[in-house]
Amino acid sequence: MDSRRVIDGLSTVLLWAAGFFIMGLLVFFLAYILGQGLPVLSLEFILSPSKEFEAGGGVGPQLFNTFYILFLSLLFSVPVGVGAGVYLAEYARPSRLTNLIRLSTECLATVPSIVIGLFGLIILVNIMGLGFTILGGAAALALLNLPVLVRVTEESLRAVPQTYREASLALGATRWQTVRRAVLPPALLGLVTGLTLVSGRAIGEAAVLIYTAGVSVSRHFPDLNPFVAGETLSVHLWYVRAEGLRPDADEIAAGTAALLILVVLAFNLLIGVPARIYQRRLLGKH
Amino acid sequence: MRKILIVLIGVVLLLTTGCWDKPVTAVGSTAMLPLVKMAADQFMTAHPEITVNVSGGGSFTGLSQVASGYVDIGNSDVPAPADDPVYAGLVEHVVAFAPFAIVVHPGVDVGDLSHDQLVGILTGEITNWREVGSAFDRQINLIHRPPSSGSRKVVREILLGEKDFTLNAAVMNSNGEVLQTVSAIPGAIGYVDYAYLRKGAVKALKYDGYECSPENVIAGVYPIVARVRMYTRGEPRGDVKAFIDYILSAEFQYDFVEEMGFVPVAGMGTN
Amino acid sequence: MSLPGRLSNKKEYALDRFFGYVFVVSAVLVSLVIFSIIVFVAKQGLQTFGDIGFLEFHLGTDWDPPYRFGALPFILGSLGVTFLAVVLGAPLGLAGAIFMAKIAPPRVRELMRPATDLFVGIPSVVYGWVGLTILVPFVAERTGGFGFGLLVAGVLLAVMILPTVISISEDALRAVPRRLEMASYALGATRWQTIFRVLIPAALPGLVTAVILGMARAIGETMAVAMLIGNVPQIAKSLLEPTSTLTAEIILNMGQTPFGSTWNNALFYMALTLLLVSMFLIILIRFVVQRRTYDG
Repeated sequence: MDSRRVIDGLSTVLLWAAGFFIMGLLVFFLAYILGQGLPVLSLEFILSPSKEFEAGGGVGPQLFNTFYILFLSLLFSVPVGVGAGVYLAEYARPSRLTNLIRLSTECLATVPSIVIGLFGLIILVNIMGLGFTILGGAAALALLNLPVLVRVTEESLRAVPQTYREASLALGATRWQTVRRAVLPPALLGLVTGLTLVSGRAIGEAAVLIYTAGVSVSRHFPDLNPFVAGETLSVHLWYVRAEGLRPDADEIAAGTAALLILVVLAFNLLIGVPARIYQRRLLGKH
Repeated sequence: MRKILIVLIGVVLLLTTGCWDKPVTAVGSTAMLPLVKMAADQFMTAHPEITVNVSGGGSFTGLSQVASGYVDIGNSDVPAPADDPVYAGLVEHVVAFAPFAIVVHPGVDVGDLSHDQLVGILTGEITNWREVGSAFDRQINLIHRPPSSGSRKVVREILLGEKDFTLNAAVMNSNGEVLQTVSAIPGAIGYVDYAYLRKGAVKALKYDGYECSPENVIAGVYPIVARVRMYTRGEPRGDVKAFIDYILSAEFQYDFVEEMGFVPVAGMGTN
Repeated sequence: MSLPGRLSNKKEYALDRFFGYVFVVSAVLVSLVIFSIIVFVAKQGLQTFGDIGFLEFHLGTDWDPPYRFGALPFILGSLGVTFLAVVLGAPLGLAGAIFMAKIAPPRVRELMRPATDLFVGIPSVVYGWVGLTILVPFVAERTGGFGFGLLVAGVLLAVMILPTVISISEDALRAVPRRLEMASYALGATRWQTIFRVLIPAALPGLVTAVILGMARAIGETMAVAMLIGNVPQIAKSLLEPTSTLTAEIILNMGQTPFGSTWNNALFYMALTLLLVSMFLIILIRFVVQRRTYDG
């Protein structure tokens, strides 16, 4: 009996240690990145256009392009990805084909994004004629994100208890009504988590965009025309680290990295918090 | 919700149809990006009616894109293969020369390498700094570029001839990463474009007694230098020609190319 | 919970049919995208074997394009870093997920959840750079060598797969019905026994998915690995020797080699290899999980 207690206590201590270690790692990474980057960040840095050679300049257009490309890519990928996820979870009968689709989505996640970039270059940029543009980049990012979105949607719908569906169908609801009113609301938090994961990945993606969206920015700022090249923050970060000639390249890169993290943080809060509140209200009524 | 979506899609479609002239697109070598981006910035300021889109992706991405006619200009620091019919219609424009600097970790107490010493290090015959006159017994850590990179090909061609680089090295993807690594790893040696040489972080070595500088390149005593090229499919016309002409103009060559650490084409004569 | 408020009528049936089609069309579109990417990679990749032998590629250790194409060092390198990352990262991630789901006070959990999501948002270039400026010099100073190799890449990858492992396995743990836990406590089990004997077995498929996806992330990670592995086509004799992986070789040379050349095709075949290796691992693990769940 006593050894049971000891093991229990020990495991609790170990799990606390794991929790703290993980948080410690995160704090370290954040402190390192933000510690180098925050001193560079200023309103001017965030809003003004970048410079090529002389010191100074900011990342205004890159910040704008990051959001613009992310927005367009989600516009393409979310309806299709979520739709396919709903189909796999709610409509499709288990078959070899659906299994194959699931397997392929998982495997595709391991293919380096540069391969998706080349696929995008050949199909979207060349054959469909989108060119090295914001639109081309957004479409290629959508390709990258589709499989993940499908997977996450399916997972979160499957987590909804079967009884919800049965109850809804028993009340005479159609399948669509069941999906919309009984399955999607409790699955929303999972969907949003998936969406933040996908967006975080899209915001941090560089290799795909170098082959599809270009490494230069429009002369106008902000420019809503999706047919000009649109360098994003991550591409800019890669570029400044790799080949930046400016004397203050290190500071610019540090500032850009910090800004990227803040963007992701803002994005998580922006769509994560309302979803959590909604979820809590949903469960509260329960 | 759905209505908003439809309106948004409509807006995107509207934007895609109007207000769009065919831009000049220049794609390829990563190492050439600063030069090309700078030229695009300056050129677009002078010509508000023309848009220039620039991207990287590597020299051969640029070559194959321009050869198939998908982009207007392919940036490359390697020559297009002469024996491959795919690239037969391409016209070469040398827009600058880029010297390579041999750099070492600031703690290395050697300041000059002879041709034979450098070749020995690059081929792996010399593996300790003591063998080239250092007071310290320290392993030589060679940091260089991938086998497909233009920089590596040029350095190999000029310095090694038939010999090959040692496998006992680490490979980094860009000038920036080579610089960072050489500055951080004791005993490291590498090569970067002269333009990227940021003093302080690393130490540049003399080669056969000559420092890497545009003057020594022009004088012909510092031979480790690459041609920076732009390729077009056939002779350039219209906006594309205007852009290349701008890059070759005295104004851009002396105010920017030279300032950025490349050697202007005019300075090298016609070799 | 909101249930359909009114009885179905004609309009509802029309909507139902409409959305049925929408979902089918989406699924078809997604499958089309996925399979065309796979076909694209396979088509480019398999052309490799017009020029070089199948055995030479998989078992050869001499990589010197455009002459010799022995890709074994890359294959072993990829497996090596992935193994290291999973061995270091998965237990930590699972422990973190259990901590978050069952032990942490609500307030700590509320903080940790979005915080781990933030890990995902750090772009891999930034991870790579942190590794390159901190880990590599640290190891290099102590060994006199390069510092690059399986060790630094594996350690950093372990950190990079943490958020994937944590967030998916935490979801799985929280999805286990409360009553199972309650029943366990009611039988007098300690917290540890409940976690180990009830919670983990019940959530096992989800936990395995978490590890699989973490593994997939590790084997497919490119930018950060290319900055830390050293990128030399040799089989590592120690954890501290520069070596290379499939992903790193792809990103370093893909844009620099002519599309359609043997070298370029070989890089596409490497991508296909990655795909097949992960497919094999996933099927294997699915099989194992199925056995377990049927037994329990």
